Amino acid sequence: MQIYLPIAEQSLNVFLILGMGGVVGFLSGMFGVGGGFLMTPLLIFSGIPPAVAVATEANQIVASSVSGSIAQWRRNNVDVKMGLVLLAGGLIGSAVGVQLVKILREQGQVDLVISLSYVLFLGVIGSLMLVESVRTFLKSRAGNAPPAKRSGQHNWIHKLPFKMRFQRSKLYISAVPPFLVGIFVGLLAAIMGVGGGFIMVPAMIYLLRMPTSVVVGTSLFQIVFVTSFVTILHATQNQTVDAVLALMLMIGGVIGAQFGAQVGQKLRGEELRALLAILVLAMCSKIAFDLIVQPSELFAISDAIGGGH
Amino acid sequence: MALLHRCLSQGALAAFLLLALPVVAAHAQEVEADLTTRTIAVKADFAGAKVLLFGSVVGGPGDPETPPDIIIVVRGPDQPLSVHRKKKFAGIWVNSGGTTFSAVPGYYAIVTNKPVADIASSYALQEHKIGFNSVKADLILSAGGFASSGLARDYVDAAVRLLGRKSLYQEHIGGIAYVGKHLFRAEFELPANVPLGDYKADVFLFRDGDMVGTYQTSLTIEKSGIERVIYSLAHEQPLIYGILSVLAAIAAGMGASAAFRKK
Repeated sequence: MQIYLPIAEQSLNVFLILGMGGVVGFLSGMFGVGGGFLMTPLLIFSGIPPAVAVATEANQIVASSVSGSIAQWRRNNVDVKMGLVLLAGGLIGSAVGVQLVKILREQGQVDLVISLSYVLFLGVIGSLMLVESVRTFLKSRAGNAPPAKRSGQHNWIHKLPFKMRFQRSKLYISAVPPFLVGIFVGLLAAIMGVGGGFIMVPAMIYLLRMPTSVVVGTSLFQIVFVTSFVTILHATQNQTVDAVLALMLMIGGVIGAQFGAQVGQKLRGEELRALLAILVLAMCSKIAFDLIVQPSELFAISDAIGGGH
Repeated sequence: MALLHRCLSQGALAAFLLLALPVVAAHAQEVEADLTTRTIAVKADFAGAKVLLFGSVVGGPGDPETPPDIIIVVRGPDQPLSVHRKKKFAGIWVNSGGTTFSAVPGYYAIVTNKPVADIASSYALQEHKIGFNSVKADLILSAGGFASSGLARDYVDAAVRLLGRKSLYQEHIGGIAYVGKHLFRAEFELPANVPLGDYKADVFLFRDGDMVGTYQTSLTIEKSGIERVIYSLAHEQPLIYGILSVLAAIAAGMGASAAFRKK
């Protein structure tokens, strides 16, 4: 059964879309990640124009991050003040990012930049996760508990101005680093169609040294607003948000996430991370391969400037 | 208002055709044709469409026992098209040179009763602007800023080839069948990615390599139903569309969260 996507202007199989939403939802429920970095490449592989894939995926992430952050909010796991600082940066970063996408579209380079961003981020994050999970696995084999060397370290962050008190995180730090993290994540949201949790969560833990209990909730809180903003900006600047595609992905995603979360509870942390790392690296290799191998067709066509009418 | 305008302009076009045709076909073979559908609605379940064109040939010169050859050209609205060429740069393949053609037919199907070369000379085809070579010639004329004509030809060839790969450019030899001596029918396919707008179907009759008659009819492809609402909202009221998309996502997220909580 085919469904016509009004903005992508092509028809895709309904079960393929629901299936992709379901599989990525399953994985994101299992691993506790947003899934944007898996879904956007999948959409591109299935023939959706990259600019439409990115904007539509931002719209889907709004739905998944809303349901995630409601759960975190109920458990009081959101540092609203920190979230707002991250959000302020996120809005600036995403506004710049959407504008960048618009310019790159006109130059015919948007596909390349999206692919390169994916190769870079999936490669780095996947490798780091793989190394970390293998190391944890080896250590637990050797019988040592992983060392907890987190508190009491002074670093360059404490020398920065604009210090603020973040009660929920029990931190008194400069607002500059979270603001910069927010800008960076906003850029990624606009260019890659991801929530950016995979950058924000490590940055909060290792850079800002926030307590792990509030990290996921605060990051989801920021993602809700940044991806909403990105969706509206892409809709107005690029007309690339396909509401029909987004809705179908949401349906698949919600169902998949329920099952994924149940399976995820049965697996051990480092096993989960190793699996996710392998998945991320596989995705990265596929995109890199497509960039490196000589294409059989050296020409490409696109409906010019701004798409549309 | 826009719809009213479109209706008026279509009416004007039809009136023009009615006036123009008898003059053109004064001492020629008479041909009349029509499509099974004049309007194709692109709805949620649109997965492409098959359109049947049927017509009849009456009188004219030559042996009435052997019907003339027929070429049917269905042409979609002109659209701008960007063509990029990939080059290897620092180990990866990137779009380097690029050009934009301002008016490329969004759809072009040529259906014939036998190989085109057996119907008319390439000169005759070029003269009547029939076929892909004619499309290419127009594009090369319109293209500017190329270092050489060979380079322009490479880009134009690529555009036509790639549109063909998307099934937007089609050639269907033997796609016309005579039913008896005067009636003929032809079928052409519109893929799901077909551009929207006004289409023209031209019927050309050839006898011994000479054109002996023509007929033109038209076709409109438009989005309808929810697809039309979504598309026009996205392009005419993008801010409202964006806000609605976000609200729908928030509602979906809250719904999922409520459903999950009950368990």
